[in-house]
Amino acid sequence: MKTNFLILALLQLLLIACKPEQAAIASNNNEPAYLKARKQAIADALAAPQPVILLPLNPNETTKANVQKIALADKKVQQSFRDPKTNAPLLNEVFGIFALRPSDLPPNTTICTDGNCYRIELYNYALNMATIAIVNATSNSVLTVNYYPQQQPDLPPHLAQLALSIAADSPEVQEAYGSKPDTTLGLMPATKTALNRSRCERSQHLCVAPTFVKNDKALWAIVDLTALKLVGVRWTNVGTTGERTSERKMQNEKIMSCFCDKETQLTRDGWQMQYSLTRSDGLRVSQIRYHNTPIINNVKMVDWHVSYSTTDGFGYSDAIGCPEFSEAAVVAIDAPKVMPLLDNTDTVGFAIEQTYSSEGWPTPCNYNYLQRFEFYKNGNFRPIIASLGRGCGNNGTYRPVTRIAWAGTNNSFFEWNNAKWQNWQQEKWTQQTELTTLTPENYWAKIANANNQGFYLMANNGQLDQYSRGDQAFLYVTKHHPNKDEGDGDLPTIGPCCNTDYQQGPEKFIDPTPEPILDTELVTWYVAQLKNDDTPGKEYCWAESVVENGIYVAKTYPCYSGPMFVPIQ
Amino acid sequence: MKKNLFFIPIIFCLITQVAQAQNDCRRQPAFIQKFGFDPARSAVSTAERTYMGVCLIELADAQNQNGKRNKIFQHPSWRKAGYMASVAITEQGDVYVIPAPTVNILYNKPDEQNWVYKIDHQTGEMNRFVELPAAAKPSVQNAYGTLGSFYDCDTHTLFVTSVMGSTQNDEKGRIFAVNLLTNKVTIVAQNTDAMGVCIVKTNGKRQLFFGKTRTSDMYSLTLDANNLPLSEPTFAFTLDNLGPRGDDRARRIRFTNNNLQINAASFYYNLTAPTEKPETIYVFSYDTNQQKWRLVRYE
Repeated sequence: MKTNFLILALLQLLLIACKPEQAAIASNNNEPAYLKARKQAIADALAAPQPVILLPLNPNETTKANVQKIALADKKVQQSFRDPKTNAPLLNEVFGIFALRPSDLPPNTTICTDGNCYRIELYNYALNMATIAIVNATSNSVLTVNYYPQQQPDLPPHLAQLALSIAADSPEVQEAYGSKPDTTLGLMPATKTALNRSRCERSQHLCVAPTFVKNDKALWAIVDLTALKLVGVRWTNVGTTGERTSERKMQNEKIMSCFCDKETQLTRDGWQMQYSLTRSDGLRVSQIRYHNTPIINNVKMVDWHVSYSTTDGFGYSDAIGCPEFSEAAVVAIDAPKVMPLLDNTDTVGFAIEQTYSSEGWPTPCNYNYLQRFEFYKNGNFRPIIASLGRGCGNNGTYRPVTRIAWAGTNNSFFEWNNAKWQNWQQEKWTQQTELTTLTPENYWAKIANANNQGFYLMANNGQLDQYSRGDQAFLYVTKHHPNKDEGDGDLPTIGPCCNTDYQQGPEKFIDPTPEPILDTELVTWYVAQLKNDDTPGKEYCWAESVVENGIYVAKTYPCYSGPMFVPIQ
Repeated sequence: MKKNLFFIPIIFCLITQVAQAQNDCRRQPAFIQKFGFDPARSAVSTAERTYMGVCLIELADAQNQNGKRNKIFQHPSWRKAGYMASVAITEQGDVYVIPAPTVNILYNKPDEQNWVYKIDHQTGEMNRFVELPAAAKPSVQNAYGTLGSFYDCDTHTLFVTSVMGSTQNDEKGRIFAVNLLTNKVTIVAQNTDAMGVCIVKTNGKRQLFFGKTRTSDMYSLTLDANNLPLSEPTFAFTLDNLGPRGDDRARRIRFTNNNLQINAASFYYNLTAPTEKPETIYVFSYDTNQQKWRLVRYE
């Protein structure tokens, strides 16, 4: 078994291209005509009284045209055409109209005895649901209507061609294939087999997988026909019939093969570092240097503690990390992204982002988290932890635990107090409150060596970005022990969900006997406290499903946390 | 999310020409009445929201597992092993439960996830019963140990699946048979990660069915009267590409009305919350002409 898995892992490495994602700026300038036409058809349907893209029919198919008209006029068929709360139109499309065969009906059925019945199949893009109606073309009546959630009818030929075109035109497919594939070589993009063998489990969108064969391998391209984009590509061996891929499988394979416990080197804007996805501590950025000076050994996110105030002791203590074989409760669903930091049009640095999501987000009791590490050309850096909702209630408090292991063996820690820097003698914690005094620059603390080289910790009172309202953070300082694992490796859950005081986990490395921390290796732990809010107009750490262009999308109200570290000049 | 309930009043008594279920001997634990619960509407549950461990619940409507609970009781000992998973009840009414972490490992220490716990049918006290020998120690790659169980009345044996020690590249799981009369533990299968398990007696043969956790495949092997394997595990059928998700793993398998009923959900060796794991029930029947299992329906 072990050998098989090693071979499988090696094969996957060969078949999956490992590249960190670079954030791209969307551009519609070079959008192909077929995409423009498709988007126009969607817009037209949504503006119509019935938000349905009709099945294109030949002029001589008058009976089918009549069936389509009768079905769409039926109240029960129309039941899923609009959002029940807002009445916003939900995008539907007629996928097929077929003369009913006796085998389509249950034995001894009494309906449709005249033999002039049709089966009309609709797909609801918003609800990922098939609606199938049986229409009697003689009596011009709808006989039955059935709904099939999470099922999709067979694709009509024009959608199959659309999927094939999206796949063939995508840079990922062309790069993997070596050239733009001839779309006439696409294998059965519209067949039941191809449709069944590709799902978008996470997005709950309509997905198909055009397949392009090259030598003894087949390139699978999963195309999302709801969002009109390529989800990903994957090579499979032609011989392995039955090998199936899907959105989740493809995403997980890439993350596990390329980023889980695998370091990616990054040099940019004067910074050097490496990053990898851990099994329970989120994205860990390590060996961080600024102009060749070691700054941080590693920084990572240990736990999310989420408590709900109306129910004592109710909440969750979540870890984030790799999607498989991990202790993560909320898992990475895409690759880390590296993106420029812009101040107007000037690039002032870069950021590394990693998102984590529950499968059902943004429905209640599902979570979405963001890690974002910002590195500025001027030497500032900021580890941001954010919640994008939605959680189990509107009375939740999020407490993310961040651990920073500083480079250097002779650091000391200072807190601004009574208008001067007070040197902490031993391990301890403090809390950012209304009484906390800060320097005029909002510096709360500093970590510095004997030569006063190091960083100020600028408190987050909501001034650091548009998504912050202040952290009210707990801050802990502990001594780093090179020969004792107090968090250098993956940490298990270190604290329960619902403590409201300093007992968030890091205190375990202080109590019961605090150690001296003068001129030594230091670890700082930062626990922000973020109270969510669903009040209209004041949403925070929140997310809603809203209808946009006929489908449900997540509207997020993020809450960002994290201090800014500023080099001591 | 379907609740992980075990209803005491429901007795599987399914004797058919082809096969017979092996879990048709369960008896109500005496502690149900002792704790003032109505046996006709009570169940042992390990999936009550906001409760960790084992609960005794009394339903307002016995037919509605997800409906209102009239009352919920937890013996003080029922929380001590953290979050729990599968429940099996014997002909004496003793309850055997196995642990499995939920969301985090704060209350389920990884190296304690291969213990089977017994709730005494009289006192209701839960204690450690037996620790199953793992092939390897747990790691941060896999917090799980035991995942599924099944009580075989004929041989007074509790079958338990465990994935303790398995990692991304190493399948180290085992299927155990624990004789409850002698406390003897037998390893039925090695290097096999499985969750749901069930014994089916077919034309005099005893077959162990189990669902793999790395794939959606179902396997079976033949056991002798002493629960020693007479064959290598062989592929039976797969849940791959079936149902709303297409990648379900069999969590619970039962043989009823000559069909295999499989409760299945996604499983990727992480700790995603149960609320994220919608479950589907698949029903398969054996086609004697084609000599293979066929999907009857899923819901």
